[in-house]
Amino acid sequence: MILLWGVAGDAPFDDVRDALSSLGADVHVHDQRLNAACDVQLSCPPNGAQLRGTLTYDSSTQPSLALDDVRAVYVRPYSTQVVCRASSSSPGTRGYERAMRSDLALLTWADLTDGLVVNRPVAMAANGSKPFQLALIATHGFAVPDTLITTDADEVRAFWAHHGRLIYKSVSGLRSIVSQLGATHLERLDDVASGPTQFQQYVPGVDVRVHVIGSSTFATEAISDADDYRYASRQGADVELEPYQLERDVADQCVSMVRGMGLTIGGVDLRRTPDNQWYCFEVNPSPAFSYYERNTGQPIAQAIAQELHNADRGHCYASSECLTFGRAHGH
Amino acid sequence: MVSGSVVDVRDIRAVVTRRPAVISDELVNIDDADRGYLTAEINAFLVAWLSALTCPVVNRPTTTCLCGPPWSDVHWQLAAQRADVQWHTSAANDAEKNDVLVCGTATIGTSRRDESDAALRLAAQAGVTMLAARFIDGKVYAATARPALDDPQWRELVLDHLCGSERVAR
Repeated sequence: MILLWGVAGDAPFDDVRDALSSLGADVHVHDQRLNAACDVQLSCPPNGAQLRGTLTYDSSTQPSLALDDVRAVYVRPYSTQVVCRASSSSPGTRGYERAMRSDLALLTWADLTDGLVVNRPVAMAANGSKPFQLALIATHGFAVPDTLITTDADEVRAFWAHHGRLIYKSVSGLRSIVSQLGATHLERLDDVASGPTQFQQYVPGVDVRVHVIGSSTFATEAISDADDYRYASRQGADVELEPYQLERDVADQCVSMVRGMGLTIGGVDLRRTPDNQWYCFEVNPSPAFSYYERNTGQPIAQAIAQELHNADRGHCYASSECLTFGRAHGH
Repeated sequence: MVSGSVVDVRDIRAVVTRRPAVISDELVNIDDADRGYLTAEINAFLVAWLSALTCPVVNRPTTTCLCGPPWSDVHWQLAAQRADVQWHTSAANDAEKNDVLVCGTATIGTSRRDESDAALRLAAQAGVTMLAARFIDGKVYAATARPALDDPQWRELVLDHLCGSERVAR
């Protein structure tokens, strides 16, 4: 059994569901909007290494699910708050609290189950701290931009003078849009005293997004004048996406890095400089790949579906490689 | 910044983290609309900073908690099973209870070797330096990576771990 956990209407979620359907896979779709009308029970029986669990719904038309039967899961939920806001459930209401409990239980289960999890929440969380993830990336051999996180405007000015051009972006996963620092920012540079702000050297070159799916890679070149091509329209710029022929060694490096981060899939943001250095800015553990697939024809959803289907049939998957118990950091 | 003075990071010899996160209600000087964002930024920075420090840090952060894994009972139970540590599911009032603290390779709180060894194995499985576990008749009943350090002996153990050789030298 394959579990799809997300929100119907979300393009990557729908694309994986459709691809699994074309494979004839055995799928249970859990729409996160049903969280306020379902219960998740987990237990850990003594003397048994297997986590047990059930997912049951209030509605008798919605079949319940023995989580023990799930051998592969695609994890793409939104935050509970966002989903509840869309259904007008606010914090403090019974619906909201129940939805929160369901999400927490499913997150726990997804971290602990022995099956293939694409991707485990504990591994995805590294993307919530960009500098933490950047340190991980650096250990995988990619160049990373010189970075300053500070509350001191004088430090920013010195860093700016040193590099000539800087970008700034969020430290966390929120409001994660890249912008270039310009003259208009000078007068409000002292605002960095409010909280840690992240600045990075500007790296010139060609943007390449590499989707790693298991041991496969799908590379796309993004051609745009925008600071952040994903939000090009906000800057009045265009973006053009084209399939990119990635060198074998760089592709292997991406696969190794994504696997090393405990992920099965990842959207790797690379930039190739004019002197052919490869910089890596971040790895998105829940990539919105549909945007790239629609523009390039790359069969990314199909590749994800195949990974899930293979795991469900017991092929090519070693669960011990994926389960981590919070050992991301040294002591 | 400590008591109004800036402390150079190179002068920090050890860190004990006692809080799982900064929360938005603490940022009273920030506009309501920006508090959630800034809270996320601060926590994201602290995760990276505490992870990168070269001095001893107990516990190192995980990506979702500043002081070790924020595990539920199910997490701890499964970790215990995988560490070959027995889990007690119910506690009788008259049962022998021992609260054991692990810090590094040292333990305190029990005279039973099997409980000390089990607590060390559980800490290793969780990937944490510091852990407290309540034992009932030799089995773990509860565990946490954020133990209360009310007991002076427990605090001594932590200090010994963090700066043992310096303390002996003094």
